[in-house]
Amino acid sequence: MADRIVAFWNAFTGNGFITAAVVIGVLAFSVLYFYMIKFLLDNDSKSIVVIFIVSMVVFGWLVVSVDQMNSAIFLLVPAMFLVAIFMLYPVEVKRIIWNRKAVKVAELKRTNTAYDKEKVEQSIDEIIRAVQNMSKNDVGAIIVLTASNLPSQILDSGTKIDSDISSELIESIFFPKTPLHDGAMVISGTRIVAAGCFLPLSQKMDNIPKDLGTRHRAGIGVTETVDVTSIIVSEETGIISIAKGGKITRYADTDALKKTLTKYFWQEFEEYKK
Amino acid sequence: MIDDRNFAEQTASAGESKKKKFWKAVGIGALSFFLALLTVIVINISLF
Repeated sequence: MADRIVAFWNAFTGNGFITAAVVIGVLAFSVLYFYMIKFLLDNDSKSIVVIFIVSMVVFGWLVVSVDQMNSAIFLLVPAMFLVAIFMLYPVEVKRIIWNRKAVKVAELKRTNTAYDKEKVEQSIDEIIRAVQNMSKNDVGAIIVLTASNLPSQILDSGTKIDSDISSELIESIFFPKTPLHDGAMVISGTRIVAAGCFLPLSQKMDNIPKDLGTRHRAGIGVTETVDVTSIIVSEETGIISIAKGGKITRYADTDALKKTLTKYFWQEFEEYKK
Repeated sequence: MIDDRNFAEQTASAGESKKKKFWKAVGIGALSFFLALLTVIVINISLF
């Protein structure tokens, strides 16, 4: 094996083409492994990372030690872990594929809506008023705040509205027994885009208390797969909750709502200005 | 999953984690580089 290492080193230093190929290869594999390991660590899978590293080292040693073994076999190790990631984390992979942060400026322009400060402040006030009224009257609701990055199948499951935001409209939609009350409202920028939409339920069943029903699971679930924020009003208790990134914060007060909405709209506004 | 903390607390803690995130990225980068080097060396040594 020492001879092979020496031969490889001589080829690496003596041949410019081989040097370039090795450098490009190292860079390409570094990027691939970086995102694989980051993905696994972000999803609390340290043990899989450890197994991956040990497998690479052990298998690498085997490939080098055994004569006349095809070196391409070594690539099976990272390939197998990549396949395992797709099989074990379909929700998280779906989230990465569906998550598009850029605001569709064309959509905003098409609706002839000026994305100005007054309109944003008015929209924030209208949403807060509606949510508080619904909370007071124990009217269940889910409002999804999106950056035009919601998958089309979720929007298509509901009814397209394309209207200005008003508390009266929001409360009317969620009023019990109306046709669109049983589903989520989708807001994009300063427009109500759709209502009565069906959302994917949360996949993390073990972490959700039993007193949170399907409405909360749907509000949490959509935030697991797409980078959106959900505002949920409980029909049973009137408690306002805010979900983002698969996590839910309950008992949100006016300040929390205002902070969430301000952050959402000004993130959108900054993207729109670009 | 359930977080009943005040939003202000959550926002305040976000800034502290940036340093941690940076070092985490550096660590993952170093590990990735080592594994990439291993991959390329194993593939190429086997050819000699």
